[in-house]
Amino acid sequence: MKYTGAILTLMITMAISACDRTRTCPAFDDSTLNTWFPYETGVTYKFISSDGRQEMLTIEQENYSQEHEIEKKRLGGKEHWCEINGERKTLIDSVVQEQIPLKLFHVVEQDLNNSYSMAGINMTFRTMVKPVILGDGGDKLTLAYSYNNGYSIENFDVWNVNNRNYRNIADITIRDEEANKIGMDKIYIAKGAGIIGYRTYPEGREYWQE
Amino acid sequence: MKHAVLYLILLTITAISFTACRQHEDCPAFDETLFNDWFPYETGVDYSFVSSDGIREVLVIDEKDFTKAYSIDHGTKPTYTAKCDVHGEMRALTDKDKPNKIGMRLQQSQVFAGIKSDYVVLEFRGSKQILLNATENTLGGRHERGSTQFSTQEHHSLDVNGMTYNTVIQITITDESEAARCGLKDIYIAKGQGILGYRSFPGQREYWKEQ
Repeated sequence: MKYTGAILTLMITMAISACDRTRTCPAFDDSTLNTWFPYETGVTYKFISSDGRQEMLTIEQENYSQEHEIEKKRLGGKEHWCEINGERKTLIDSVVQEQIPLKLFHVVEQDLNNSYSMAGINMTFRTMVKPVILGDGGDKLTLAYSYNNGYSIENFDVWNVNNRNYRNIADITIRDEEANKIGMDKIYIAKGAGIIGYRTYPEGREYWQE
Repeated sequence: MKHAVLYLILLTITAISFTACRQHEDCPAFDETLFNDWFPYETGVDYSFVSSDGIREVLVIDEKDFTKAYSIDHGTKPTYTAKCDVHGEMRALTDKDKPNKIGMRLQQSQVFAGIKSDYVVLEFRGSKQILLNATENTLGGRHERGSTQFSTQEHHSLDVNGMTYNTVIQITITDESEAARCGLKDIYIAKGQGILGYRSFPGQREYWKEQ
């Protein structure tokens, strides 16, 4: 009789432990990054202005989360989400001579039942201080508005620029105050091509991918 | 020799039974009747819309994709994972260099995942998807799965710029924030004409098709 309490505690502990289960989170799927930013590591992408100036970026690092296990919800504990990340970036984080930085950090969060997921590509480009968060809307890139003060986006189906035809273009405009801070007011991204151009502010100098 | 004949017969029977067991499914070609009746657009032709104060916008169908008849081979052990998908689509593409060019996507689904479907999806000038009934190749009002952000009404006839059009469907974007987002309040579709006109929002500027 005097052991009843201890046995009961042991049984409850065992029952709680039995409820603990793990769940496998999938490896990062790089198809969205490949669709919008098909950069290859080690390759240098050049941008040329109409007056002959040149800037370039080289993706030198890529990190992708592998398949991993997380614990499912414990009784009274916090419910976990799968966090699946992929990153492509240059090794510099500020403009160094003609080299310009780019960091693409794709975050995917899935709940344990795979019934809900959030995803966004955090992009920091050239002189940007904080990332802009981009969403993949199939043929469009979208902005997560609550996180992107100073930025707006317009999508077009086609654009012939710099003697090239592009499909599915995202025309990102950076408003005055932010543009003034980072010295850039336009970024153009095309599906299957990555960043195709940008414009400095207030000079209005346009650079196009070579 | 006797064994060779037996072997040959056995081989033939096996081949026949395998062939007989293969299951094919024929998917029909997209039926263009509704598109021809309601949206008789030709690819590459400019359809102009002009407002009363002279602003001109242009609709050009750049691409058409209609499903051609095809056959699905389910193999000898059918799992039926592949199903017929029959649809037609017309696209007017937005162009960054042509701000007055209207973007439009018009799709009619006739068979989806092997099941007969009955709707037309319209995206026009930045609107969200508008689902319209397309039963028996007749364009009707809002489809039961259509968003509640818009309503439809049918005009037996409508007089515009001195001309009378019969059987006109008026789509009204009833949600004001959505109307403000896409800058559009009403779209008029006339049988035999396609898009007949539209009304912007909040400016209420009316654009009508130039005949």
